[in-house]
Amino acid sequence: MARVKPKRHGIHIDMTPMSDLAWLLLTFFILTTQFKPKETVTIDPPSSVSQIKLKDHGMMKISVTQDGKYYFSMDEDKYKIPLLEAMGDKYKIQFSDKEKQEFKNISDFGVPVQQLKEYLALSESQRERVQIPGIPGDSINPQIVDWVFEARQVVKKVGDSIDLGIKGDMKTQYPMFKNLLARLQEKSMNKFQLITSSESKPE
Amino acid sequence: MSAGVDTSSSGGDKGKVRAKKMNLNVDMAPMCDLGFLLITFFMFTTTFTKPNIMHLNMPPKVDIPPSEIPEIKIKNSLTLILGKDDKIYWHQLEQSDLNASNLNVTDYSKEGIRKEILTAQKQADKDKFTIIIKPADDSNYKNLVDILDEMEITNSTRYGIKDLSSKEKQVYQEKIK
Repeated sequence: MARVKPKRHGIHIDMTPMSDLAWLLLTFFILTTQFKPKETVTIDPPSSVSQIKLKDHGMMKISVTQDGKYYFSMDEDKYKIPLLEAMGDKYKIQFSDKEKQEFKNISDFGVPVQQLKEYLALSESQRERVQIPGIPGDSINPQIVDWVFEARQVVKKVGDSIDLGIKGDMKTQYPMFKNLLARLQEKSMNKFQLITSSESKPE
Repeated sequence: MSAGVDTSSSGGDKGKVRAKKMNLNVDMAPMCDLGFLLITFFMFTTTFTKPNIMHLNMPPKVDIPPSEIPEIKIKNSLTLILGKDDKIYWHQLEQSDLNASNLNVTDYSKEGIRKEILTAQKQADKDKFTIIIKPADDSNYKNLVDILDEMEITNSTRYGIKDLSSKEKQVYQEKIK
């Protein structure tokens, strides 16, 4: 009777625990990551050597597009509805509950407060196509400053604080930016945070 | 051994029929690879999309009588006019002495404006060197951020942003013609 040769097996490591670990970490990362909210306007900010990172919370943002239109956004959802109510009071516009809810859902907007009702009534795909006039920011009708000012008031009431970030496009003409600063300075807001992309500091 | 299901039975004696032992052994290595690949992807995308911020503090609007405005010596100041097409015009002169021929022009490169700032910085009194940034209306936002960046790179802590004076406007227009 022929002896049965022992069959040679290659070393075989069980990868199951490693795979478990990988997927567990992956799940953790996916769940903890905050996805960037979809923005209605794409802005290509200039880069800077600044090492300070943007805060995750407590920011409101004014975006200045290439053609000098102002957009406003706020990342604190809980203050959005009180802010809309405050702006509604100021401009004598009544917003319905549905509109308030819709306002909470959008990330940024660039329409005068008078047109906000119509804008909120649009569907998401319609909003992408519609002509956006931008929030007025001239000296006669500085609505953009009102948004910032009202947001500060709303946040202050509950003892919280909010910072203002300004995000401009590389090609935004300087007068548009200067005008915005001038309007904000009129309301004695003198500290700004310019949002930029990162770049390494030369030696 | 390749990936897949290992069904090989450990041989068998002739004649004897034995119920084949099924040894299911799925190789988890590819799955593990995929998991780590996705993690890597996530880590890279999350850390790199976060934008930076740059602080910009403007002086509050207060009316100071002209007599109390501190004088800055010409030697200690450097005026930069941010012009169009990514050009910087600079001078270290009194307003009255300024003309199109003594308004220097440079660019945003390392050999351009950075060199000029560092030269002026060396000649000036320590801690008193002030840079006055005057963006012209046909400059863009990138120019401003770039020059603020230069302030950071050259460690110039004293700087301010101002509008062009009418004389400077006139000279600048003459220069870019």
